Amino acid sequence: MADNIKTQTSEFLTSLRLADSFLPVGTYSSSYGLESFVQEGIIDNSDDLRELLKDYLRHLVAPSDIVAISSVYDAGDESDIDKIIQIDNKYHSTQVAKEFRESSIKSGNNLLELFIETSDYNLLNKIHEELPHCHYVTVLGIISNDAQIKKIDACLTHVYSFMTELISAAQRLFQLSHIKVQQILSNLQPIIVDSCQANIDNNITQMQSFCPWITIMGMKHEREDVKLFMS
Amino acid sequence: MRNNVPQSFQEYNQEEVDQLPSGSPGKDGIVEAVFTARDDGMTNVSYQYARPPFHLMGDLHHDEQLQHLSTLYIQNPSGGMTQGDHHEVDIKVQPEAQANVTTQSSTKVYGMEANYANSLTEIFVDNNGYLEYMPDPIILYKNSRFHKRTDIKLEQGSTLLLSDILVPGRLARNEFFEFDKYHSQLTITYDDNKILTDNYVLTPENTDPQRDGFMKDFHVFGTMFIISDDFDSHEVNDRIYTHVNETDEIIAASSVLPYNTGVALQILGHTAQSVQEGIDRAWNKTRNILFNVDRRRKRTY
Repeated sequence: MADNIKTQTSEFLTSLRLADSFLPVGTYSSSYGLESFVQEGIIDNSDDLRELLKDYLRHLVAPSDIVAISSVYDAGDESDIDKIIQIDNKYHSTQVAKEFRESSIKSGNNLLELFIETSDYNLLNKIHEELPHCHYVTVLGIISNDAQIKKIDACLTHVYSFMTELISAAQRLFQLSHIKVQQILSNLQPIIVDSCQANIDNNITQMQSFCPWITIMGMKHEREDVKLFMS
Repeated sequence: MRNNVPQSFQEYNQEEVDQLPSGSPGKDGIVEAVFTARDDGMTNVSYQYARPPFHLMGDLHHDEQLQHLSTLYIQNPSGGMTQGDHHEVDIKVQPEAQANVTTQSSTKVYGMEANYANSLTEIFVDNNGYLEYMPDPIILYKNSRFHKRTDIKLEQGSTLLLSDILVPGRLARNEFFEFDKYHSQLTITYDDNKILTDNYVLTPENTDPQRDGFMKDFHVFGTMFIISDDFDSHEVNDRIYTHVNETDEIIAASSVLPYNTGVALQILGHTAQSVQEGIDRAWNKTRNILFNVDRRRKRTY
């Protein structure tokens, strides 16, 4: 029993580490087009931000990233590295906006290198060599699975931290009080759970995303003269 | 059943009007075409097959800008797609051949009470082949259900211009997003690399498409992919982006595709015409870059 509690506590703490803004993987430098929404004057208050985040969540992150993480778990359970490579390639081909693609690859590689340095998982060097792109969701799936974090918890961790990174970006772009931030997070919480549950059992062929306005803003961001974020 | 029917027509009046089941003649349309370059550089259609409701005339060489290019119009005199319809289009472009494939009018997908309509398009462009596959818009009528799948395989040195315009209803009669469901699937491989997977389902009843992150107050969504390993994707991206954004009726942006294999352009507009104009601008600029010529004038026969 004591061992069980120890394992569960360890998994929980690893999840916290992965969702923490202390995690030095560079996601704090990505806004996934949010900076352009602010620069173009489309959003400038917490209500607009909350509604926009729902679109990011339901139509960009959940139907794509959750399916990728879940598929990596299934492939990891079968120790099928070819399948994980296939998922990484598939995810790569869904990212039409260059900066979104590059942000995901950069933070994925950072995460992998960090865990090579700080964990005992001895297959990570081999994975680093063989994975074609090391997208963030692929690496997060591999590491979370190895840490025996439950699949649903890994998905919730990713979506929650994606949302907090975007809110943190918004805080640097316009005035947003800490109370408003917590109101947004509280409001999003049930949607985060529903979106994860709605997509966790989908297979890789069902991976999808459609939010033209966000994608267009992500593409426009490439051309902003002055910008704080890499995407 | 009609009332007050004369005796002479009573027999007919007993008959139910049954729609043709899916799979029957006229419901399963097929188009196949192979484009081949001759020794003198001229491209011709070397094989073609059409099953109703599709119809093909021969190819045309009416492009005043690219005289070796073969243009093929996919004709459909049936007026549109109804429940249970299944269409297949299979286009092959052989090495060095140059082709433009388009339609004569928009694809209208009518309202449905049972079943759905679907179309499967398969495209193969061989080494150094050039294809412009630019059909007219798809219009999704109230209560329509449409599944569209496009699978594309491109060999090294080949070039593809692919456009798509989605119109969510008969806009002039204030029909916006009243279709039941639309599912679009697109996969493109270039030299055996999977460069693009685009998959989405739109169900307006469940999600308001005019939310901020989605389409905002726009109605029409257009995409264009300009794919080749024969140019500098970043330079083409810059030139396309600038040229398309010279018109202010649309919002448009472009980016470089995975493996630097070309450019993805996305456009939102209020009308099909404005989005088409954006795509035509990108088409024109691409031809400027590749061949130093303009796009051809639109001549639908």
